[in-house]
Amino acid sequence: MAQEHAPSHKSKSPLEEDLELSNVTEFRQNLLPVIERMEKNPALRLLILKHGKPQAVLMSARTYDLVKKIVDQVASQAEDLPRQDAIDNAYSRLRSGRQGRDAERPGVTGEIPSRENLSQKLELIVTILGQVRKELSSADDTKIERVANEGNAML
Amino acid sequence: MTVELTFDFMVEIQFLWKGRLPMALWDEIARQKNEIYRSLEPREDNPDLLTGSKIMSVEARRFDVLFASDPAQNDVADDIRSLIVIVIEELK
Repeated sequence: MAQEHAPSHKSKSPLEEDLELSNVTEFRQNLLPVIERMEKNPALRLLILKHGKPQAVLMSARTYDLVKKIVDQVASQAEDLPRQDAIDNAYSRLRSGRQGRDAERPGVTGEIPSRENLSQKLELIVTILGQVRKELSSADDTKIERVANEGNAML
Repeated sequence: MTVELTFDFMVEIQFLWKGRLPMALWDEIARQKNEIYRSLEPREDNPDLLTGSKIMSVEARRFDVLFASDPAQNDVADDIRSLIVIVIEELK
């Protein structure tokens, strides 16, 4: 019968419940009340267990539409990428898994700059360099020094 | 040595959502994971990783499967090595 999702499956959210039914008759008898519960609470998901192991998930059509929208969007973005970019992205995701492990090691901060973070810093550097170039063209030493100091502070 | 096989989530989408890749390929990769792990080596473009690729055939279809392992994520104490499927491309 339905019960709160077991901690062994990581999520402890009460929105996920386990449902183990011994036979088709029991499944039929329980299906209607379960669907009625999902109408009231579309966020409810039921893990269908077979011999204690999750085999399928029952969710509201609205939740399914949401999941479909998200996964399709992610997949379509990836499909537009050239092969080498897709490979590089996968390597980045692989490397991002290091953060948690490194953080556990003594003497390591665990902070590995993400691609997004590096990109923001590079944009900042380009902006600062643009300002410096502008100031250089006006040949005002005081301004150049001020911009350089501001740039250092920002980085 | 235990090889822990995982799939990049974009590869999982191809298998489990789009249904474009046969589950027989997943099973075949799992069957060969130890041998595949042993064939990985560092390369110039990603010197911090062990990488490699293998052409695999299942159900009369051929696939170019790219693998990687991040030594930084290996569990040396328990002798568990990571093997991740990075990209799968079907060969026409």
